[in-house]
Amino acid sequence: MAARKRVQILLLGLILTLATIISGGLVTISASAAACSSWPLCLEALSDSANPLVWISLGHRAIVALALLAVIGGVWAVWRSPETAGLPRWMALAAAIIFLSQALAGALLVWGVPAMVADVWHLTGALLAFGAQVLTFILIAIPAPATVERLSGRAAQTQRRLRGLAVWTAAAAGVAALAIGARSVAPELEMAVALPANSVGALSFAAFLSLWMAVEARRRLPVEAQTSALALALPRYSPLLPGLAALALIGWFIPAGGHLLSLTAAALLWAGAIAAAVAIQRAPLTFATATTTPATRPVSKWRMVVADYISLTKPKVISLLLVTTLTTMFITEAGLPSWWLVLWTMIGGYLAAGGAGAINCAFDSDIDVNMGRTSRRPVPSGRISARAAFVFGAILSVLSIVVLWVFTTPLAAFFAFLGIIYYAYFYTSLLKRSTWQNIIIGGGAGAIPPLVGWTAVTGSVSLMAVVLFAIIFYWTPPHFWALALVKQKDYARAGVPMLPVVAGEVETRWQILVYSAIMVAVSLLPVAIGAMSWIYLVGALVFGLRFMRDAWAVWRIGDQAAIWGLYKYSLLYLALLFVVMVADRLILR
Amino acid sequence: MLAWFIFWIAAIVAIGGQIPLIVAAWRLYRHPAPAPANVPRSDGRADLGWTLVTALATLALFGAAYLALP
Repeated sequence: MAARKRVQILLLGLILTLATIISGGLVTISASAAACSSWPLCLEALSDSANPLVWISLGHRAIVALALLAVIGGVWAVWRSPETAGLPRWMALAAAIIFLSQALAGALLVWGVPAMVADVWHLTGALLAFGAQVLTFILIAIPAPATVERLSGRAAQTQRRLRGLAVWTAAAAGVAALAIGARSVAPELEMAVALPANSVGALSFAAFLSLWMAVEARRRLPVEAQTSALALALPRYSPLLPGLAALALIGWFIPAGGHLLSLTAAALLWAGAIAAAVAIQRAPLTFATATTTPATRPVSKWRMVVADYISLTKPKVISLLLVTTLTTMFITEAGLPSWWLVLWTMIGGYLAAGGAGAINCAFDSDIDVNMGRTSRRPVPSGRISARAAFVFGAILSVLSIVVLWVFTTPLAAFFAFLGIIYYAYFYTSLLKRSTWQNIIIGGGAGAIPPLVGWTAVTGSVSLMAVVLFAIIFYWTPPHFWALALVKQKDYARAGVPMLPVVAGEVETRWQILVYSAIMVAVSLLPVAIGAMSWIYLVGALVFGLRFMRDAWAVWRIGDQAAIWGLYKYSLLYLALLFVVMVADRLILR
Repeated sequence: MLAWFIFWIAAIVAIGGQIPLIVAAWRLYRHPAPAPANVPRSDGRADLGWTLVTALATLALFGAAYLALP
C-alpha cells in the first residue's frame, strides 16, 4: 500500500475518533444515552416516538461505528506494510482494542450499569484510543532516523527538557479532558472515580506547561532546525498548544456549547502534546549534529532582562520545592483539594520561594562571584544590581504572602513568611557564613514547603506535616554535602565554611552516611503513625535502600562518580517519595 | 503490630544516629581542623549546641509519634 494511502486512512481514523469524543460529550450533556434503550442498534429511531434525543444518540453511534471501521482499517493498513514493523503496529492494534472496549462501555451505559463509572471509562477509553492513534500516525509520519547520532550535551539537555514538558502537557491535558467529562456526568461531585472534577486547574497546568514548551522550543532550537523538516514542525506550531489550552479554558466559561468546546480543545491538546513528545524524540538531530555554528536567533534586550529576573528566582531549585508542596496537598486528611486551591498555592509558593531566592542572590553576590557554579548569575556578573535584586525579591515575597493569605489560609501565608525569613536572612546572612552547621540547620528552610501545602488545605498543622518537614530536613545534608564535596574548592575560595572545607572529606562522607540512615528511618514514620499504608512502605523501603547504597558508596569509595551518583539520585528520591505518598492516598483512600 | 515494629526500628536508627553526630560535633569543638585562611572559624560551642538541639527535636518528634501509634 502506498504510504500516502496509509497516512490518509490513519488520518481518517483520527478525525472520526475525535468526532466520537465530541459527539459523546454531546450525548452526555443532553442526557440522551438512555433515549435509545437497545444496543448497538437504536430501534427507537424507527418508531413514531423518535425525538431529538434519539437522533443525537443514534448519530453518536453511527459516528462510533464509522470510527471503529476506520480504526480497524488503520490496523490493516499498518500491519500489511513491511516498512511499518515494530511499535506502530502494536500501537495501531492497541488503539483498536481500546476503542472497542470503550464502545462496550457505551453499551453498559445503555444497559444501566453505574453510569458514572461507565461514562468516565467511556471517555477515558476514547481518549486513550485517540492517543494510541496519534502515536501510530506520528511514528509513521516521522520515521526513526537510520543512524542514531550522539547528541551534544546541550542538545541532549534541550531534547530532554522539551520532551519532558511535552509529556507532562499531555498528562495534564488528559486529566483536564477526563475532568471535563466527569464534571458533565456528575457536576455535584468533587471526585469522580478518583478524578478531580474541577478541570480548570488541570487546564491551567496544561496551558502553563505548553506555553513553557513553546517558549523553550523557540529559544533553544536554532533557526535552521525549526525550518528543516516536517519532523521539526514542533517549534513552529507549538504555540498552537497553549492556544488550545486557552480555548479549553474559555469554553469553560461559555454556558451554551462551552463544554463541547472545552472537551474538543482538551482532546486536541492531549493529541498535540503526544505528537510533540514523539517529534522531539525523533526530530532534533539535525540541529544537534551540525558541525557549523548554528544560526542563533537574535535575543532582544528586554527578553534578556526578563530571563535574568526569572533566573533570580532560581526556577530549577524551586521546582523540587513545589513538587513537595503540590504532593503534600493531596495527602492530607482533608481529602482532595480543588484545583483552584492547588493553583493559587503553587503561585504563592513560587512567589515565596522565588522572592527568597532573589534576596539570597542580592546578599550572596560576594560569594557567588567566587564560585564557578554561580558566577554567571545576574548579580555577580553585573547585569542586575544587588539593590534591584533585593527589591524584586521583596516584592515577590510580599505578593506571595498576599496570594496565600487571600486564596488559601492565613497559616499557609505564615509558613511562607517564615520560610522567606528563614532562607533569605537566617540562612543566607547568618548560618551560611559562620558555621559548618549551615546546611543542617538551614535545611529547615527547604523543609517548609510541605507545611505550606498542608496548611493551605487543612488550615492546621498535624504530626504528619511535621514528619514531612523532618524527612526533608534530614534529606538536606546528604544532598548538599554531596555537592559541597565536588565543589569544595569553590566554597573555600568564597570563604564559606562548608563541612568538607572545615572538617575534611572523610568526616563529610561519614556524616552523609549517618544523616542518610536517619532520613530513611524518619521516612518510615508515616506508616508507623498510620498516615500511610503498604504502598508507601514498599516505596519508602525500595527508594531508601537505594539511597543507602549510594550513601555507602560515597562513604566507602568516595570518588566523583559515587558522589555525583548520590547527588543526582537524592533529587529523584525526594520527588519519588512524595509521589508514592500521593499514590498511597489516592489508591487506598 | 507492624506499626510498633516499624516505629521502634526507625526510633533506634534515628535517635541512635544522633550519637555519632554529637560525638563528631564534640570532636570538632575540642580539636577543630585547620581551615583555609579566608574561611571563618566556626564557633565550636554553637555547633555543638545546634547538634544537641537537632537531637532533642528529633527525640520530641519520635515522642509525639509514639503517642500517635495506633
